[in-house]
Amino acid sequence: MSVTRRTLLMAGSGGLLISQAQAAGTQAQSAPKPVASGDALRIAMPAFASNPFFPADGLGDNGIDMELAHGIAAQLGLEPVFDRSAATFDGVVNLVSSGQADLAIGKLSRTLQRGRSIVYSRPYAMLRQGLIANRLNLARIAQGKPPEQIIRDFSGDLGVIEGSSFATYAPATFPHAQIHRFASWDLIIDAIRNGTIDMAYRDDFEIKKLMVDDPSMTVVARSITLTDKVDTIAVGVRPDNPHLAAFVDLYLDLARGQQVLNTDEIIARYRQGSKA
Amino acid sequence: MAISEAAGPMPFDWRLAARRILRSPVTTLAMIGAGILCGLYYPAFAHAISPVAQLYLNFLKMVVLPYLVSSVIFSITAMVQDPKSVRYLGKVGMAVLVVSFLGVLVSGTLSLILQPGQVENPQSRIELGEFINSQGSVSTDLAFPFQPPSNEGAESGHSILLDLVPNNVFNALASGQTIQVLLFCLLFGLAMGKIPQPSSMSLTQALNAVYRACTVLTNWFIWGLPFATFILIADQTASTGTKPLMLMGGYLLVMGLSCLIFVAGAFAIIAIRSRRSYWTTIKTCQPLLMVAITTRSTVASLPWVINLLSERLRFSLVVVELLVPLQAALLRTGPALLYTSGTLFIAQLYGHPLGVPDLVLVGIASALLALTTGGMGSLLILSQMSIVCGYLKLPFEAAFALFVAVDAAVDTFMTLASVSTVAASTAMIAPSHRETTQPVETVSEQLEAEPVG
Repeated sequence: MSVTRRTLLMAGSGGLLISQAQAAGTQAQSAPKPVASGDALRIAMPAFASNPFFPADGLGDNGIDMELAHGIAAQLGLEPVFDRSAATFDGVVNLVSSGQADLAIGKLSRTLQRGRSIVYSRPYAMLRQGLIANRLNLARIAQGKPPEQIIRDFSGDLGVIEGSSFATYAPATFPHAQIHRFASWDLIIDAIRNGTIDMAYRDDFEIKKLMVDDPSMTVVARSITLTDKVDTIAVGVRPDNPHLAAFVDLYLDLARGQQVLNTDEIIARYRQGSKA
Repeated sequence: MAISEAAGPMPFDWRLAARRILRSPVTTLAMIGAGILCGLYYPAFAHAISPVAQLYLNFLKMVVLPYLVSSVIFSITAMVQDPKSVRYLGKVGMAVLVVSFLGVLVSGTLSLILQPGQVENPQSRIELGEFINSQGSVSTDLAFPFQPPSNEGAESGHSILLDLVPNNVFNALASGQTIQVLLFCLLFGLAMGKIPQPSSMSLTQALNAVYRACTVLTNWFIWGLPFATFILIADQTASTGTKPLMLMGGYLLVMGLSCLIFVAGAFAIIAIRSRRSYWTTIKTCQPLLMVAITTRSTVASLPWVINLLSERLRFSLVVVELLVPLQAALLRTGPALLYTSGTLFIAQLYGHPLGVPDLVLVGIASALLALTTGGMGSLLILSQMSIVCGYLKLPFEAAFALFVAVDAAVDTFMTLASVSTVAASTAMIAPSHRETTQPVETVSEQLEAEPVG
């Protein structure tokens, strides 16, 4: 009798376990996924290159942002599909806010204006804001006064990349400057060389990269770091997908050990890449 | 040691020979050449051994503060307490001021006129930029907070002076604020000279012991200098190639010309004071110049300076023997030239324009820092340039290897300038043979009343 009871008890608990497992299986199948678009993670990235973050479209998948994109996709068990159609940083933001892409990864600066239309992850790189000034023009404007003072009250011609975070920062930081928007950083550098604009505004990494790439630049230009103004780089996420946003944060926390890259580390990475 | 003692009656001979070999310009050139070759053909090895050079520099730097504190307090106290030297104190003090001012003025003016660090040739500029940006982090020309600190305007005028005076000397010592420490030591030495000798005796003796021990340490470290040169040059060449070394030509020109001006001026003063023709004076001084060039050591040249002034030019031996060592410690023309022209050179390299307040700061800091270099080796003198650069927020580390590469030549210029200045200043202050027909004391009292030129 006791044997029969025990057998019944075992059989009952075994059945319970099986039914629990089956329930868990069906729950997993119907569980909300961070991404609704099938097996692909759609990642918007600018068409141009920004070493060592990402290469130009079709030129491989090396770079800090490429690794990040592949890493997130792998942890989600999805295939990354890159949308490289955007010609500006704001274009990348538009792809995400309109739902055409799930993530925006591509040295994307956090700004309040962009924060209205997308969700940002926590930053994975922190740069300073920088300036590069035509030496002669700056000396002419300064007329012997300390350059710091002239820059704080700058009222000359300031170049920024169209659709970049610095195009947003510029009117607030330099309210008296004439702001000129350029299609690319190369055009801005040419304008600085020719003296058609007095100063250009971008993060200090790009300014320092310029010094590494073209040391002769120091002859015509003066590089400046604004030590108290930061430019934080983060992943942009669709505003209607808080789950994905939380997952990206979790990924940055766990898989990358909360590492926030600084300018020196990125420069070192850039040098490594150039040597290779 | 045991072998040499057994082998011959003079156990120090091999040391002397080894030291001569290590200090000879040929060895230095050979080590630079070997370093370049090693850097070019075995870059991995050159990089691997580079920490050794860093270790060597740390050894040199660790002696600086005890050396500075003991030597400055000890020599100032001794000077103030010695009734013979106190008679010349005013004149020596005046000589220090004049020489420091002229040193800074000459090398500063030449650096500003010749602009050795201003690289016009785009190719050289690119090479230089590659060199500067090849190591560690890249720095921009300017870095400042966009929001101005609230009290910046009020403080900027006085900050230079405030920086020179320590509010806590132990803090200054711990954080290696050499110029602040120097100022304290100068005043402390003067004050210690004023208290009765029995009270100050034990501290004076302790300081003397520290000073001597530091000298012994420095002498030990000199053995490693050629090897450190080899490693630094090898590492540098492995990182950037040999081209940046070519950029130092302009800087050597400035140092050479500054040295020439001082040597020529010194000969003129000696010629006038000894009432000889200029040409005869040059010929008389020639052995001294040769000693300065071969030993590259002001201290080693002192016996020759004393001999030249007392025996050949017939200045009063007693006064010359008193003044020459004293002035050798205080009239540091060479380092003053080095710090001024070196800092301006680096500022020009980095395209860092210097305003008048900056130039004044370079001058004051260079002159004060030069005072601390008595008895220091050339590489140690050189490494202290980082202090002047620090005041101007100029990066010194990247350019250091460039200076090491031309150190042998620069050290020769520095020694020549310092030795000839000491000789000229002594000739200026000491009474000559004609004047010593009267007792020395009387003459020197008369000289006290004369204006010092």
